[in-house]
Amino acid sequence: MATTASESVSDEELAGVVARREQAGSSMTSAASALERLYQRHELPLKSFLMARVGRADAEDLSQLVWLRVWKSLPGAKPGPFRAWLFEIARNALVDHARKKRPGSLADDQAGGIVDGALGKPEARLVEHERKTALENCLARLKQEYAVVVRGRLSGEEYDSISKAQGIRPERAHSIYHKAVKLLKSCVERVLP
Amino acid sequence: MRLIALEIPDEPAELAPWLERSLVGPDLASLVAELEAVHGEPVGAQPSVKGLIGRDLDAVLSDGLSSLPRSTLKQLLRNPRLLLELQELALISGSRYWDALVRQEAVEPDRQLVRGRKNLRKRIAAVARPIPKRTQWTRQPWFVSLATAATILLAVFAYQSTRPPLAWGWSKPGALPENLASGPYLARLAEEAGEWFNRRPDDRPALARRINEFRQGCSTLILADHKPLSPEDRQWLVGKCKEWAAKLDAHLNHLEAPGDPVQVRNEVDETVRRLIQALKDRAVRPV
Repeated sequence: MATTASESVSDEELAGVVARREQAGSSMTSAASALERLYQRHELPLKSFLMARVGRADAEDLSQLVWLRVWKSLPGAKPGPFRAWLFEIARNALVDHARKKRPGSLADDQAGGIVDGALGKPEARLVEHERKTALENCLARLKQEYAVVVRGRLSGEEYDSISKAQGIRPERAHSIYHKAVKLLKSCVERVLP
Repeated sequence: MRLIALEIPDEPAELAPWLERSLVGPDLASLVAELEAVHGEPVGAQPSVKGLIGRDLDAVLSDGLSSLPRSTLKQLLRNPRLLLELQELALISGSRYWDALVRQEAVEPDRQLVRGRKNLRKRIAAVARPIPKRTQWTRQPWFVSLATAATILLAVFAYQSTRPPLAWGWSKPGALPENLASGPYLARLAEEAGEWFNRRPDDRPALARRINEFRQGCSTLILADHKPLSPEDRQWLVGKCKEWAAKLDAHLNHLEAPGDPVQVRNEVDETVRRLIQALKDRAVRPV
């Protein structure tokens, strides 16, 4: 987002005010105010990005860390489009965060993978790993017919195509899916506190 | 408990809007983990979002997923890590469509922003220091005889006023040693927290800086690995740090309201005494 109709000052202009805060004729107050306007514009997308990678609990602290890095880095930086530059800082912060969580066991490419999801192991996010394991185990306990319907539905298949492939009526596929959902939920609830 | 993937809508037309909300909502990590549990971890070379969506990507970034054929949506569900990649592209695009959706799906966005902005302001205030500027009168010829002395004085002043504050407590180098056992490690953290009492600022700006420095120490602890601790102790410590951080934020709020700063300092003293006691108790807890 460079500018919107209601926000006539572009991100890049605001970033410039922050960057020039130590030059003669500039003011620290207007720099802080420019940073707050950038925060107002970009914080929610940034938080959404961080939450999907480190969970809600750490996202708040990491977000503050990212904005502090923005404040510190802008005077010497040539950021280009601000949103892309902000996310680059966020990705670096995530890599640092991943290294701190698992020092010595996380190669650079793996740390980067946590950020882009290409190589990231769910073990890096314990809660999600537990959820995944619980669901895998519960799915393995379902009747084969139920598991097939669940896999089909969670691949985006419609009841018609699942029923054709399984040789059952669409109503039966629908009923199986909703029964399977109840069974899976109660099974996962028993496993996870 | 909610299982996000199982909330996939029955109605085919609802699939794209549901996926869009999931992409920017707070539960994307859960959705990805659940879909991986169902479909298994990817094997072999994986498609990229750009490879999968191809020339529809611009339309997706500006108007969402409704332009995608159902077969592509199915591919995304079967390769859930692509959802993370797609989320990043959508968020970086900064299009009105995705930004509006982010705001719509955020939990109490206005409150989040107000609180976050307030915290950021405090942290910026803690790190921002005015840079001394040269003044014209120092260049006047009749000051030449004083120039050397003035330069030295200014240099000393500039150094003192611009040098970074000395790190203390949990922020100083070596504050989190990795070569200690669990008990001594926690005892060391307690001892370092006690450095709060080494300075007793009684004016608002200095006290705000001091509290902010302590608060930054909390962030250091929250984000640290704490190798000497067991997973249980680590979880306890991070949970406690978050409580302490919230209390310090509350003290800063109190400090910004009219009132006696020394009273606020006394309240912080009490918080610090309690956290030191909690660390000491945990340090000697029987395993």
